[in-house]
Formats: sequence, C-alpha cells, structure tokens
Amino acid sequence: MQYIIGISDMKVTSGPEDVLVTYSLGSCVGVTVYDPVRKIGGMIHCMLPLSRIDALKAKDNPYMFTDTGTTSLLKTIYDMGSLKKDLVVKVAGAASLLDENRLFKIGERNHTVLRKVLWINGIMIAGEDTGGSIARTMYLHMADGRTTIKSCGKESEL
Amino acid sequence: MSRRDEIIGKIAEVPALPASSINAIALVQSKDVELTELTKFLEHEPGPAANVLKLVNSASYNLGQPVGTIKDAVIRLGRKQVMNIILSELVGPVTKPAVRGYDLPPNDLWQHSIVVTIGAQIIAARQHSNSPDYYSVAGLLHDVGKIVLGTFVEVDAEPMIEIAKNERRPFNEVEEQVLGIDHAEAGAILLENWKFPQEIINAVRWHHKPEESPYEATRYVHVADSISLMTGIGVGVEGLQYSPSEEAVKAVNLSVEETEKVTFNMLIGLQEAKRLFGM
Repeated sequence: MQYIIGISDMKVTSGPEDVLVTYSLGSCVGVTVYDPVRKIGGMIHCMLPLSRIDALKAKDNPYMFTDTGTTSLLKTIYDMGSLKKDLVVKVAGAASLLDENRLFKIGERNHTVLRKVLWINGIMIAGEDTGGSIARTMYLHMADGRTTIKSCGKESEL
Repeated sequence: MSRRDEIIGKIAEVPALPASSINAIALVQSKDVELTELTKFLEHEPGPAANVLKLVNSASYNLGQPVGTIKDAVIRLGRKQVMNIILSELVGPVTKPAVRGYDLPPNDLWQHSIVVTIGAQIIAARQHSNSPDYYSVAGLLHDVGKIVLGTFVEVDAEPMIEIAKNERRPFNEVEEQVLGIDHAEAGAILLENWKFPQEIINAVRWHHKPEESPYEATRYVHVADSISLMTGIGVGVEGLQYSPSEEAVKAVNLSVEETEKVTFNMLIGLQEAKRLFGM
C-alpha cells in the first residue's frame, strides 16, 4: 500500500509491500528511517526548523518542525523495537529559491537543525539529496528499504 | 504573427468570469461594505453561504448555540472572514482544474493561490497597511496566467525549465524569452480583458518583479508567493526556479524568525481552508 506523507506529517510502517511517499519537498526536509533487521521504516516531512515558533502547536503536531519532528520519529521507531545501530537515515529537501542574497533561509536552517538533531542522537546520515532550486519527491520502498528521489521527471536511488 | 501576438489573441477568447464572481470582486473592493450588504449577497449565493454557516458552527468559532441564519453568522464571523470565504469560493475555483503544461494536478494551483492570499493578508496586517485589500483578489489570481498559457495556449513548460535550470535563471524570464510573454503578463492581460481594477492587474502583472509596481499589494503578493514556492506548496514543474526581489523582501522587513512565523501561519491557514472546502 502507498502512504502519502503531507507537509507536517509522519508515517511509520512494517508492511513489507508498503511505499511511503512525500511530494514537493522545497525548503522543507524529508527524512526516511529504515531498520533492515526488523523491516521497520518511517518518513517525515517537516516545514520549519525550530518548534519554539509555537511550542503549543509543536506538542499537538511535532512534525511541523524539524527539531521536534526528527526526535519524535526516532522515538516512535525505537518504541517499535529498533536499535540505533541498525537505522539507515536518509535526507532530502532543504532547497531554496534562486536567492543569491540569501533573503530567505528556511532551507538552510532546516538542514542545519536536522544535522544537529541527528548528531546529538548519534546518527550518521547514510545518504542525502539537498539544496539547489528543485522540488523533490521522496520514496521509501519497504520491500527492500530503498530510498529514492524523483525530481524533474527523473528518479534515482539515494 | 509573433508567438506573443498569437498568445494575446488566444487570451481574448478565454470566457469571462460568471456574474456572481464579478459581483463578489466589486463587493470586496468597496472599502466600507456593510454587514447587511454581505448578508444580502450571501442569500443569493448558496455555495459561500453554506461555507459561512459551516465555519461559524465549526469548533473554532461556535461557543454554544448553533448558528442557523446567515445574518447571525455574518455578525459572528465579521467582515473580513466572510469576504475571504466569498472570494475563495467564487473567484478561487478559476484555479482549481489541473494545469497541464505546467504539470499542476487538480487543486494544486488553487491551494497555492489560497496560501498566497493568506500570506499576503498576514504580511499586510503586520505592516499595518491602510491600503484597500487588493492583495486578496490578486493573491487568488496571481498565477491565472499559468492557466492561460498551460490550458488555453497549450504551452509545454518542460523545455523552458531545462533552459532555466541550465542557465540558473528565473523561470519567468525564460518564459518571456521563449514565448514573448510570461505567465504574469498573460494573467494581467486576461484580467484587463475582464475589466479588473488597475491595482489588482498590476499586482498580478508584477508579482515576480514587484519593484516595477507602485502598489504595496504587489509586494505582499510577491513575498507570500516566494514563501509558498520555496516551501513547495503548489509548485509546478519549474520548482523553486524564481528569484525573490531584494527590494520587496526588505520593504516588508521580516526577520528570520518573523518570516518563519508568517510561513507557519500560512500553513495553519491553508489547513483551515482545506477543512472548510473539504479538500
């Protein structure tokens, strides 16, 4: 079954046939987590770097924000029995407009916060496709744990 | 005949808006429309009337007794909220169908238009703007030129995107180079044919080059549009291949944190609109 992860959304699954997908990642970040030992996988699509913008809303929906979203995804996966050493984490998005003067910084800030949260949690990024001025679609294929990125009509494995 | 002339010829063949939409736009522009006028208008417009009642009876507004009459609903919600519903319902749907040449599935451009309208309103409010609310209609229709080019002229945006990407240039610039006209100008010509007020036409015409327009509304639409495109809401095949205007972004003067707050509120507003319109 295919599950669509919207903006500020999360999904974890252990269904061997499932595909998780999130569309039009711009400056937002998409993160996939896959545990090849227990065949558990998850995906988030977070819009803004820091939850301090609205702590109340972050409690209600942590996946709006990269800091709380990433932490919450990891916690969910651990609660399902996964161990940190088994996790394969991949990252996409954090794009920007053609913005040489860096008038907007959401993409780069999302990227920085994501790296920081993963660093604090002792997790290495196994693959990433970030930056530039393109919108990306991100897939996690539960059948084999592949994360793929589709952009401008072309799909490639991360 | 040049490609540009051919396109302008085709724009003239686009059917006019229904009368109710034109009335709604006129209503919103009259600065001090009375609540009684709004009520009267809604009594003849079952679509928006139903949504006004739906909103007033939703969890975020209803405090006790259900509201059953349009008059009470209008009083409870207030002018601005009611006008938003009327516009979104009567003008917004122009952008609902899929836009083929730009690879926008059904409802994507509509969502993008709504989120830009919400953003323009938030930014205008932060500026304590006293100018009449031209940015709402302009926000809803800023990309109507994509429908003109993608649907009526059947332009294929794909090769233009290749050029924009390879040369790292804004997509609208490449449109203009290849077609002789970009989607902003195509939209403005359509709205001119539809006899829209100058301020709205201008905001649509210059939403990618706001420094060319004397009106504040253009800046608000530009900044909101930039944020929406950047975050990926309703982006077409051209992705984030646009340049924000330094002048406009500086003029609205939002700090990093304020920009993120505006972005946050745009998403919250979109989620409410989606609930209201059952998307």
